[in-house]
Amino acid sequence: MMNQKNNYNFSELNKLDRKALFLVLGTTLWTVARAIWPILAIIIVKREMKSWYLFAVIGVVTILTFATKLINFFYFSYQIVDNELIIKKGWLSKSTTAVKLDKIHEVNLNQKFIHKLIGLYVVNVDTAGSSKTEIEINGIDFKKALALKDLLTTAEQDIVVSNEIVNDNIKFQHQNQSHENPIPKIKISLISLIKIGLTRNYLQTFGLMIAFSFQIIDQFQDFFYEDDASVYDDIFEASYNQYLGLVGVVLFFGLILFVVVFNLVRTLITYFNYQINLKDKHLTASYGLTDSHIISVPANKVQMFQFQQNYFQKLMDLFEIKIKQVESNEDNKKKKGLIIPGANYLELSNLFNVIFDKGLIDLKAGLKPHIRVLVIKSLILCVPVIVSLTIMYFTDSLHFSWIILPLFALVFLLIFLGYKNEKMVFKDDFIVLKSGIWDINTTYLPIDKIQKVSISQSYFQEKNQIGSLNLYTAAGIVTLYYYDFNILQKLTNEILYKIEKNKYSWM
Amino acid sequence: MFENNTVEIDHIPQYQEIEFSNLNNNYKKIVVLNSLITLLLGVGICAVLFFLIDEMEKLYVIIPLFLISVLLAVFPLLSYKKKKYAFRKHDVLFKKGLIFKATHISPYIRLQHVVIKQGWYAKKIGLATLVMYTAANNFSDISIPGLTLEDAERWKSYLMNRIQELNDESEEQL
Repeated sequence: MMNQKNNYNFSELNKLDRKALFLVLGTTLWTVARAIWPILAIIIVKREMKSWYLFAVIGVVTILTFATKLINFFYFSYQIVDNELIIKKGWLSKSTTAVKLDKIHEVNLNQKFIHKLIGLYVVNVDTAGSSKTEIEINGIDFKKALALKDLLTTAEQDIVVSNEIVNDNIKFQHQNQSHENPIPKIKISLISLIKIGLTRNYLQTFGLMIAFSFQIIDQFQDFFYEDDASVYDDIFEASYNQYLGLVGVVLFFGLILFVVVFNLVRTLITYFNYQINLKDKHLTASYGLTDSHIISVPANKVQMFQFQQNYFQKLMDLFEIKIKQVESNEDNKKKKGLIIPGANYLELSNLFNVIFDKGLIDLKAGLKPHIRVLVIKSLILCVPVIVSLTIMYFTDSLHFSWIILPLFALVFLLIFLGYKNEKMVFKDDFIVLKSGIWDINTTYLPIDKIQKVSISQSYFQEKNQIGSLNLYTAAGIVTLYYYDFNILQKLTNEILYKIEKNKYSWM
Repeated sequence: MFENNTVEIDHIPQYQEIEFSNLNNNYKKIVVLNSLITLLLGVGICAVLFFLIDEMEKLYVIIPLFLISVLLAVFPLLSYKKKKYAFRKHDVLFKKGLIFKATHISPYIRLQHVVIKQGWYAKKIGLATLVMYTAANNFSDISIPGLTLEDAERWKSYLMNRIQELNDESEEQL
């Protein structure tokens, strides 16, 4: 391995690529532009040229930002010494970060659009600690970045391999069977990607659009309306016109079409040319049209394995797979891990096989939550219905009550579907939970990744012996809500027993 | 004292059969003080509202506010007795809850670090809270309040030793 990488010597101090100067310039312009665009927008909209020194200030700010970034650029260096990645930063206040190679969880090579223009990559190194210890090496050319990635990930591989030699004799026969036809590579064709793009994440996109449109409307309000007049008044006024029905229908279908198309385009741009392959127990995925990403994840650090399928995707035998890694503490926005937007059942089970050395688990004999959860959720649903009916009664608008009934039926149907889909199995050292209403999610949680369990029962659940179990992991919480309490207790004892007896490390 | 039961395949230790220890009696003082502060705050806000607003409708706000603050003050007084803890050879358990009873359990081998915390009043009466952190991020710490500072420190050093031991065993295994 090392001999191939001879042309790059990472044990010496390495600087960033010269071409990364363009990145420095680009990010400077971008940060400044982002900070001052509201001011510029106001000037343009109000057509008021204040005076030249506004531009002077902007110029000085730009130069200062550029200078600091330039200093950061020249004083940045990285090297690998004694199985440690060492990053040195700073001119006046220097800082040195050292990370043990076997603590590295994930190595990503990313390319934003500007990186693509000049052909450089950002290398992101994620460790188990807080996000403060995350490392970013911004500006390496592709070959060097790949070499660095291999070095960062294989160093740890050596340890794992030497550990496995001990068990090799025992495992040998078993491995011959299970690895006879592994698919080391999954490629998502354009057609599958289109199929997936048309069927995924409706709710998420819808929410995003609503948030987005409120923001746009607010900006509108700020620029064009006086304080007392509201843009919403105008919108409502317009919609009370006589074309109300027609406009409503067009708007409704337009919205649906927009969501679908938006989703499709987003999926295509993000996951264009998706490839994932498995080498030496490392999953490496590469994708992206405008921004490219190469993500490398060691299989033994996978915390949770999830796949999701809705009705349309079931017809086409497509799954969306999420391989969850450790989440960073500070900002949950940046979820670590890997998403495979489209894979068929064979690819899914092969992937699972390669990561965990086991097969997928049949859920037919699964446990279901107690039926009372259905009763309780329906009772909760009755509250808003009764409230709205009372309000209607007192405001003399009972003739609108026909709207509520179908709505009630619809929500009840959703609750029922949610109950019908939920299932749980504890087998082969996995907790498997299947749940969901439209997008049906199956979560595989290896019990060695559990950090804490909390088992709970309320006073009202005592008579029926129902309870809940929360399983806390570094990648999120799995909750078994409203199950048989005796089974949960048994489960808790077994989980603890296995973790404590095996003493496997979780990372 | 800290043994788990003997282990056979069919006989896994049962967490529900353990005897839990109660918190130190002095912990009551902290709970009472907290309740008093909550009550005073609630009554204070109610009084301010009562004298500031002149309309009769103010009672719709003040009465629920008062009831909520009384509830918030009384509830901990009833529920603190339910807080219990136990240390086994391999894991720590913490039980709490009057209406919603929960038992939190974390194996030592998953603990990241152990911290002792002390508020000003707890410091005065010599109590401390032992907080154990795991790598899970949301609400995943187990914190046992109402230990004497001495106990907390002894537990902490016991835990640190156990964590080290278990991690060594885990590495040897590989």
